[in-house]
Amino acid sequence: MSFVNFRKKEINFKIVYYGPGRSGKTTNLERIHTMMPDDIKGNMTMLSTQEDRTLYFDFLPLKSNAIPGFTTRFQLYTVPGQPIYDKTRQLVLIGSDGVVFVADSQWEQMENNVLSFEDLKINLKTHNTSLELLPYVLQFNKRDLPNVAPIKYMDFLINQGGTRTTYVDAIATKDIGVDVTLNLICKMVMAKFIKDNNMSPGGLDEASSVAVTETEKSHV
Amino acid sequence: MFNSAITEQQGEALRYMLSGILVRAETEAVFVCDRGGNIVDHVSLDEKELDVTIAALASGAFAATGELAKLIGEPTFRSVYHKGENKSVYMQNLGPGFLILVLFGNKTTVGMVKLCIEKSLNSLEALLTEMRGQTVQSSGAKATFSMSGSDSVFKKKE
Repeated sequence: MSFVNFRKKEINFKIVYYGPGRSGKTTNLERIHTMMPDDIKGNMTMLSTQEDRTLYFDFLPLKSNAIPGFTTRFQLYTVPGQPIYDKTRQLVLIGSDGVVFVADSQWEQMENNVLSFEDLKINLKTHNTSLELLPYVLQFNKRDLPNVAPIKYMDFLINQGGTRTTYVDAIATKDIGVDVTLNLICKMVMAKFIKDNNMSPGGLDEASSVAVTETEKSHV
Repeated sequence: MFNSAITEQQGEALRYMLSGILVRAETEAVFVCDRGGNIVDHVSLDEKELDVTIAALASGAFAATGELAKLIGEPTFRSVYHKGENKSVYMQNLGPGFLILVLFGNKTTVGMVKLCIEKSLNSLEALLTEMRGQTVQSSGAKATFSMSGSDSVFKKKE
């Protein structure tokens, strides 16, 4: 959940990168950490196993002035993708304001993508929330590999039902689609925050217009 | 999921309580965080950006030990203490949803830290109960939120 501190003039948002093991969640955060200017990013923290697999979570704090009058802090987390860390994924999702689901585009990973997406829905339910309530973006990663499934097929497989959302094609290792995904989810989260806090008709209009623009640009 | 907010007055009151613990117990930093890893507020001798990471790691560690507690039949662990050679961390539940985290060096002891928290506990918990689930609207704060006109929230460095 977003947290507003009026004394410090700060708004905090939490965004979780979710997805199957080795789909590129940590790579997304690493690339964001590399590409962002020093004055807006904090240290990146990785809680990994000896084999460099995420054990608990990766964490990267960013700040912006996207909401005038307030410092807007975005705390980016990843979850461990391996099935055995289900409880950990549940814990990392506590208080999340938005989710990026990073799917692996390789054919042989389709089943894992679907299972992980179902797992996301179940884990959100344990926190009394759902993809109907939470802004989320799909990222179809690893588009440069030779054995990838067509985008339309992945969209059909994962992005269906009453909660269709925007998707972004990405090659996270080459910085392609990483910043687009980040900006998209941040805008969606802020638009929802402004809508929920419905205090400025001007702000709400502006937020809505941003959401529409992003939808038009994207592949929904 | 709901949004949560702390007003300026509540923020001042919380800061006063945290400063009291910082000074009386001779600690280096005192944080109040929510379960999601957000810093509600903090006071420290040496304010750094690292503070955000400390809060995220602490709330993660506390959540993990909470699960450990359940596995051994305890509803929760009330507190967790990490002792280092030069610096130590003490964390304690502040009712459902919040925790207090104290970072301290060799100038003080964990007993002193616990004692100072205990003295402020009732007023701290009362304040946090008041703001638990408090939204921007229900807080009475007059604020207008809008998005800046920029195309991107974050721009890559040149």
